[in-house]
Amino acid sequence: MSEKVKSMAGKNLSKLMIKGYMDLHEKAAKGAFCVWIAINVPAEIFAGFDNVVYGVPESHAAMCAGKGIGVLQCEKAENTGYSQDLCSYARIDIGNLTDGSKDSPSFGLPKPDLVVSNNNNCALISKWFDVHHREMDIPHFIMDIPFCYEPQKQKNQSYIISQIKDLISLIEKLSGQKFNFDKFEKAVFHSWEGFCEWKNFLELAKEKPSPVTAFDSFVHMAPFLTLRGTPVLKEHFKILAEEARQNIKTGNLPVKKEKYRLFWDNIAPWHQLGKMSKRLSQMGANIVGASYTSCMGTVEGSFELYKWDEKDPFEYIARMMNSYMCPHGMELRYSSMKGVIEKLGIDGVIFASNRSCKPYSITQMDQQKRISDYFGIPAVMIDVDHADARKYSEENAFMRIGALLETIDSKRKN
Amino acid sequence: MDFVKAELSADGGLDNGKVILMKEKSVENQIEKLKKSGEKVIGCFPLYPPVELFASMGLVPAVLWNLKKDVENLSLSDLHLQSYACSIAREMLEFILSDKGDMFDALFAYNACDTLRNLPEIVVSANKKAKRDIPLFNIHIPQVNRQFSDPSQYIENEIDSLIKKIEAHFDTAFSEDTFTETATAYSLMRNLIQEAEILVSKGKLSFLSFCETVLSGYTASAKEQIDNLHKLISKASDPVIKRKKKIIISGIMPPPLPVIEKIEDSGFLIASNDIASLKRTYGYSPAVTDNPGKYYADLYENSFPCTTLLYQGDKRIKAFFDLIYLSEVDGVIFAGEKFCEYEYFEFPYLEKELKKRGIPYLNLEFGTDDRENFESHFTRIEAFAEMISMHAVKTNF
Repeated sequence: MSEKVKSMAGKNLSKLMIKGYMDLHEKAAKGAFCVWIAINVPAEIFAGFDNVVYGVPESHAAMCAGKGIGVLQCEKAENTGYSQDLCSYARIDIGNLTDGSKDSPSFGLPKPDLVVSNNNNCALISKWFDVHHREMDIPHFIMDIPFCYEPQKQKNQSYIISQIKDLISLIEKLSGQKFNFDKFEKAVFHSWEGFCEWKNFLELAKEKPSPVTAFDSFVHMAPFLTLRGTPVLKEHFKILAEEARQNIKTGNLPVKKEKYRLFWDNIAPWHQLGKMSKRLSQMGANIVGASYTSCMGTVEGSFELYKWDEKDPFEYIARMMNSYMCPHGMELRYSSMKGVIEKLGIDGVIFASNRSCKPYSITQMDQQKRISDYFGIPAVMIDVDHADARKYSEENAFMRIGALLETIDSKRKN
Repeated sequence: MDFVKAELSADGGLDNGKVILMKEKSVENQIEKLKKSGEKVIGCFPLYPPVELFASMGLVPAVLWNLKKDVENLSLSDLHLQSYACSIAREMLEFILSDKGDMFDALFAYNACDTLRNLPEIVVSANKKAKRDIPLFNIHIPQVNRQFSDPSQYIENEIDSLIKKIEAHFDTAFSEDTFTETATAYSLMRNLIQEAEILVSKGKLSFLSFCETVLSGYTASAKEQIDNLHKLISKASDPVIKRKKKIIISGIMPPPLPVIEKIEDSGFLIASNDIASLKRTYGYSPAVTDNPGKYYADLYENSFPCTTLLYQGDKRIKAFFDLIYLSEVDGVIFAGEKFCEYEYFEFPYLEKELKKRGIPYLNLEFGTDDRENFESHFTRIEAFAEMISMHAVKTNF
């Protein structure tokens, strides 16, 4: 991430993402049934249809923020009355639509025929998608996924599967297309293989120094959101892992003089990826892992890969609806973080208190104390916003990060 | 005048449409009173806990909002929650973690919102550290669109499971007959509230005394609240001052009492409300049945719509504008609660539609710091009153 020249994986990513968005627009323009989804809606479902495509507003918003136009888009939404206290992803998405996506790096997303939200990452996305439902006069399907204080129970898995089947029926009705189970199963298999390769890539962060930074994982997670259920996931994550292994051999490492191994908790600060990674690298600090990307392919209470028995794809995708941090309560998150902190040999944790994401941020103050007490390692809380750069102060954040590093040094001396 | 400490009481007096300051009842005092009379109390996270069920099983439900008077500061809450969490959540957490939390025999939570669903574990963890053994029960209330999915069996199973947990913990037994009696009492209570609301809309009762009475019911038994409502209704009389500007107020909580007083003093008549702790709670009573699962499946499906019940998005918009049409209002006041994003997401659409209909509106916002110094709100309310008068002149002209 700190290198100016794109790596092979970086080039492959760009190619995939550009092609992905162009295909989406092209197919939609030719009459494909288009669905907008929350990130953890199982997109494999759409592969079970001949001509259904999907767009992910959250991913598009992250891309806008990463390209430096997040604030511009937010302001457009604010000018139409949306509060600055709302999630910046939502403001970017709503703002983007106010002028026909004229500033979007991907020409926006094609107009949907249906929006599907999911409330276990955050319930607010349902309110956000209601805005589209009203403005565009399209149906809004809400996937209701019970919050987890403990691992997903059978009753909830059954409840989720029944909703997935209701969604399939709805799409059949609205699109006039029939659902094909075999195609769907194949797509689920592709996602599963993708997760396996993703985990292989993240495992390399155990190396000291690590060939992997959290910033790499933030950037490279994108295909999972927008190209889920496709064979490109496995291919791309394989390239990524192989490249990282090569970098170990050649010494082409993101933070060559890695003095501090850190862990990041919360969504990526999309507008700061390059700047932050560079500045940290200069300080000898490598954020080697993040809860946001470690959770992909896992379930409650652990960041180890959830192994699919390759039997019932509905059961698997219902299980995977909890493959994120926000659906989990404090104890499950604590358990997951403990495991990875130990595994990666973490020296300190950065809790990014994210103004735009209460589901992720609310239990962080307790987590900070618990992690710090359990491991005897320092943890710091910085104020960020994942997509609204106005709510982030670089100097403020780095003052605290600097203090974190000093505390690590001081503990080492003692 | 420091309204937070006001001691004037309207007990025994007539409410002739003039604003009368009621003695602000403290939630802590009300719960203390219940405990002294031997009651068990279950502290319920807002907004819509299954109060009838708890009451029928020997637990007086105390719904934990309207706590500004009870929490002087947020020193305990601030150890756990960032300042951008909503004010209701912060005040509730402060109350529960303080010594006042010792009064509860149990706590209850459900998936009311992204913030509240994360609080149970913070509470349990803090209580464990404080060696406080207070069980916390929780259920999941389905949020699927009823037009696409049917969650009634899920709700019934959740209620059934909740009953079993309460039975096990309190060594008690659920009774269908008692549940029926309790549900009937709550139904009567809601009918009385609606009767009182009509009196407010005619100017025969003040909205301020109405709010005070209804909100105090969240920490009272149904029987006591029925008595309170009868007393309130008996105070109704023809208005001395005819208020001509009809409005509805919308939000999660009513504005602080001094602000309500100002609204009424400015000549506004509160024709109705779309407030979570008021009409969205009392606006619907399910058909009484001895089956709590079916009762709550009915309640959550058909309740007066709320922004926090995700599947009610369309119904909520319709209900809001039906209310405006039926009440023939001149304007709307939004009482926003910082930082309730559920409400914030809908304001722009509602405002746009109000503008289309030529209905003026005022957006006020209240947070944890809004206990006194309401002057800026007062100025805006006065300006809004003038605006409505001008609007009426233009319309008539």
